[in-house]
Amino acid sequence: MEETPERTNEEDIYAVDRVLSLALDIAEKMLEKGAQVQRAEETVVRICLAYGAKQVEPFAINTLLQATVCMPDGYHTTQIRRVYQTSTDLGKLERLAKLVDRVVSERPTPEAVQSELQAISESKSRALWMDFVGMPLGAGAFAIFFGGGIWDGVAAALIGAVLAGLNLLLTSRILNAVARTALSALVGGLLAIFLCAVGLGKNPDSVMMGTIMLLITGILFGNALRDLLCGDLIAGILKCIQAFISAFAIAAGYSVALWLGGLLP
Amino acid sequence: MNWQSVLTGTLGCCGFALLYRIPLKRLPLAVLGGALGTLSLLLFQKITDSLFTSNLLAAIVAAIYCEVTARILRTPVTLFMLPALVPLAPGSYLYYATFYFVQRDMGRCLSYALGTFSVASGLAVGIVTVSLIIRVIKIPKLQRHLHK
Repeated sequence: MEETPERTNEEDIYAVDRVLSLALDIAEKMLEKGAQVQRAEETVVRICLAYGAKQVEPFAINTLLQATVCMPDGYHTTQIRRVYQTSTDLGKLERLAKLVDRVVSERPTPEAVQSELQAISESKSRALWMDFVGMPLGAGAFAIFFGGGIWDGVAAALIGAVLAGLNLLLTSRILNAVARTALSALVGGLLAIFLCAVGLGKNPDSVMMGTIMLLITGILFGNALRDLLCGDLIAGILKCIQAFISAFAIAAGYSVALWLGGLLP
Repeated sequence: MNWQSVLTGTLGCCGFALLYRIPLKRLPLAVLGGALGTLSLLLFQKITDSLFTSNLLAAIVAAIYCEVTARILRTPVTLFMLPALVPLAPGSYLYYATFYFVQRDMGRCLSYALGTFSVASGLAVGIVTVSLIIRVIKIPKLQRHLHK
């Protein structure tokens, strides 16, 4: 049975713990903003090795992150982070990657890195207009891509704008992700039926398919299989289940819309 | 070749890139990746009937573009990968599978579920193959540490 050696210099202990805490904070932010599990684990290892760790044992799934660091003198310490996923943010992901590269090569003091991390996570990423341009563009383009006409695309774009507004109103604090997806699908389905009844769209199926592309997590399912092939089995399985649950929420929301619209017996 | 599909697929990628909050200076290259993904998917769909094969080949083309661009610009690969793969993702299949399940039409549900799996596995195998090849080409010290 090995005993943890007593550390005489208290500042040393704080330094190791602080570095581990910092590495986990950065990796946690990366997971939140849409990085792969493998990449988060690599980040923890790189930072801790740069600050003189002998051995680093990270483990990450998409909701949890933990690592044990062992120093050359045998002192070791463990920390855990619970990861709450927010929306994908590639801009912040790029800034975080730059920060990691700088931390590994220049080894600034943990305080300096901490304040920089704070600056990244508090910075605004032009959220509003990007949603209100991106969602209509995505919905409209994919409605035409899936066999609709120009006017089907216009209808889907309108619905996309409404869903962007709905997204803004219903933050994750009010409703959880599954309920939000189902509600968005219900609203999107009703609007699609309405716009086709009014005569703007000709083909309710393609209008709906365009708006569904905004809600469905096809990418998530692809990523899940990617994690599985990379050997991150637990993360892969969790993401598969997540993708299926959100698909069910969408199917339920649209079915209710079709039923209310009288398109189902 | 259906140019309308290429154009709308590319515009859709642009929309999703914005939704994923891509930095604006990276937007043109990300949209180019989306165009490449859409174009190669449509081309390979002409050549083969297999969902798996066409998606695999298109994913390989798109992934090579993304990995090379990211290496050159020194950015995370995800930055280009997510927008580029939107047209290849099995979104519509996954939706129809669950939709027919809710409608209790098990025959169609099953065929769309299989479609979802073929599309997604083609996508995943394509990306992983490319990233593995790139990793083998430049074995970083880090990898040796991780898999010791």
